[in-house]
Amino acid sequence: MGKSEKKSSNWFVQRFPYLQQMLSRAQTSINLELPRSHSERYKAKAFWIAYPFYYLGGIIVVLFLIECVTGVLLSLYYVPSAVTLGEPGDPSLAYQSVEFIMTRVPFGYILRGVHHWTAHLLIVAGGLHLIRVFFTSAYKRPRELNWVLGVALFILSILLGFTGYLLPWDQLGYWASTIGLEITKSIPVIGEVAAKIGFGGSSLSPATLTRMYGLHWTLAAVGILLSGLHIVIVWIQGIAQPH
Amino acid sequence: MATEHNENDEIERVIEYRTRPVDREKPVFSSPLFPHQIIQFSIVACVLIGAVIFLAAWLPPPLHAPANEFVTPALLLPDWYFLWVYGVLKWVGWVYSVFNFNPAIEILSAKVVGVLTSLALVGLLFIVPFIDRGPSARLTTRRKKTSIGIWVIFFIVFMSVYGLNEIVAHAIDMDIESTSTLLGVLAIGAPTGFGILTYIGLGRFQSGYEYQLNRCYQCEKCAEVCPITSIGEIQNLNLVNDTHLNITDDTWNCLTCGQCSANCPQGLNYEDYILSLRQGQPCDLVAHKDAFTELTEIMTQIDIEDEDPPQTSEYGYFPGCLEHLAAYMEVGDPFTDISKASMRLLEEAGINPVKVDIKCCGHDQLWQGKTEIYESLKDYNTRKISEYGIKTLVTSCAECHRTFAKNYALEGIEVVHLSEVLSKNMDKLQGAYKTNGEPMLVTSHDACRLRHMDIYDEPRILLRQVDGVELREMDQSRENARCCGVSSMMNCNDVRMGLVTDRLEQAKSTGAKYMVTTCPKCLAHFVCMKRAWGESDDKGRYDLEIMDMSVFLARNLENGFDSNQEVVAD
Repeated sequence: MGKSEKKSSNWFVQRFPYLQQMLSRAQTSINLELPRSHSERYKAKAFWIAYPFYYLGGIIVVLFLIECVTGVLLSLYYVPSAVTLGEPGDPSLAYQSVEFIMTRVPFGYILRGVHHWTAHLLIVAGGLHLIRVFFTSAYKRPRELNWVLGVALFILSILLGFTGYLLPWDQLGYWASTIGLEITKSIPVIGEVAAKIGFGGSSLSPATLTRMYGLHWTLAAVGILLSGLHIVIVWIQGIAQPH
Repeated sequence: MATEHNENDEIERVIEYRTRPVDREKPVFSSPLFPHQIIQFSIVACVLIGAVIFLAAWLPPPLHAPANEFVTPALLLPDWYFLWVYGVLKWVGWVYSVFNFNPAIEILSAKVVGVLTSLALVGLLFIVPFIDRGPSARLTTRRKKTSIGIWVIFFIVFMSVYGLNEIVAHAIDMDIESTSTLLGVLAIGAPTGFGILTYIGLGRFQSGYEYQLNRCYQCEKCAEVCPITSIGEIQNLNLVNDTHLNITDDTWNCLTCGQCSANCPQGLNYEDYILSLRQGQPCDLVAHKDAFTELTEIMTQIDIEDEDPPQTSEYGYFPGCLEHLAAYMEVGDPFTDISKASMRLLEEAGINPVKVDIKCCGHDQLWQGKTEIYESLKDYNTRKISEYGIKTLVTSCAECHRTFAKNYALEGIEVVHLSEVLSKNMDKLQGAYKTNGEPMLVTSHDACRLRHMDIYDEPRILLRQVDGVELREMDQSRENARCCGVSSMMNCNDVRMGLVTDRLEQAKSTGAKYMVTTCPKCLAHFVCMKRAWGESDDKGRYDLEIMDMSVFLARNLENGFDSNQEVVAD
């Protein structure tokens, strides 16, 4: 294995001379020595039940990747249009496409189910991650900015959930969004403007659906960037010593 | 300012430690990214993917009826993670209706206030690291923060439940009004209750020794200053940590002198921990077993018939077990004079105490782990002392002082050591001393039981007051004073004799002619060792005069002091 690895790296290094240097630097910076935990250092009884709480960051990464993959696959079939061909209350194009995914697309209902449940788990895991970091004081100097980034990411994931909720354009999503719209509008000063930006008007309309769909994608893209930054900062600063 | 500086140092050190690159020469304690963490991550990923596919297959997400703006569903609910905001909105409305509050301004309406409250809570999350500073990171030491965190969690949970009040009303078969009242009170009461419980619970948790000892970071300063380690009786006495982990059996070898506690940067109280470990455990290391120990134990069995106190005073003086000790330990006159000297000094200081006639304070029984005997002594003595009607209990013995002050719970009675009460009334004593100006070199030995009580200055102040006294300090004094070598009548063996000699040597090297202490036990050990050397070939090795502080002071009184030899003669 060592021989083939060396050979291949040589092949790449011949074409990209800086690669060798970058790789070795990356290796040392990625393999930062993690501090021993409190229980390891003092040979104390380990509070093993807390261990999964220290893995929530990784769990969120996995869930977010699942969301990205299933989201892209769903978008291949989904039609972001609230236009109804017929009487009011008849299924819209968006609704029909979701129905199509659920009934016709091979494994389509699994695909939507996975996207749905992963979204819920993502918010649960994000909340628990936040609680864990709060109670272990892992946000303290020098990690203040990463905490702020993390809170922003948590809010982002909730907004992703909210924007995704409406997309099937069914009764549940429609009326839940109505509540959301009312709440947004009642924010003093910026409420009306925020409603116009987020919902495409001061009441729910076909424009709201396309707006939500666009926001859903945008927020996902921002989420990828920010969570990438979040993880890079964790690598740079090291993991806070567990207690 | 000093602490802040140290905190910053600590933070810098931690940052440096946490972010240093891998030194390939050193062993890495954590697992490397590849393959260990990658494999771990893959396993977690597989389990999660499996879990969500399982959920999707068994609980497929519902597709409700198509959206229809003209048909409002019977039940309007947001998604579960917005339920608490919805709950807060409804809850503020409920509070307004309870207090009949109908604000005219729109910004005070229930809806706006509810939304702003929720937004404020989320906004507060952002600034948490800028409010909560300092290096302390443990969940349990940050009581306030932890309680606030618990409060917020339960607030969100119960507000979500309030958001579901219609469903709850239906489920528990109650009308919506009374359900709202119940849930509305619960929504603010339950988080507050849980927050307070957390605060109290953590406080109780913190008082445990297990918690305290957990702070040990093995600096081994305790082992450095420990007299037991220094004489090599135990090679690897890593006091706090090892005892905590049950690695060593130091429970009975410990002198409980508290020198480790005095030097502990984490402020751990080791001797109290040892005390708690010893309770109810059998102890076979007691010296003078046949006579003295039996006597005190017999004392607990016999009930001395109560007589009415002969006189009343605000002050009570307890001589301790001096008479009994004198009868069994042949220490000689410096010992038997203590109670008489103390009474005399108190009278000179303008205090006429009543002599408190109670049983042994139980110090040795307590530290030997004989909990039952100690408790019966304590109960008897506490009752008896209260009958005297005194306000201040004076003891000349350091052990009695610590026991009454720290281990008894004497309500309404102040426990003071003789040196404390005398130094408070110094002015009256001032004129009572001889003024011949004969120079005397004196060294003061700090008894461990007074060190536990932080009494260092008072005996020295009193000694300096005597005309002609020049005080010399031993190499180890005050907080770092070496133990006399034996405590609580335990472990009197050849090695411990070495410790007594060591302390005598320190006293000798000061050039002092008088060695003064405040504890009769220290006195007994020093006198015993001095006599042992007197019988050896090196007869004149220690020509120090060893005596109790009270006896030294009383002998220098103008009116003289006649020794109380009769007690020994009995």
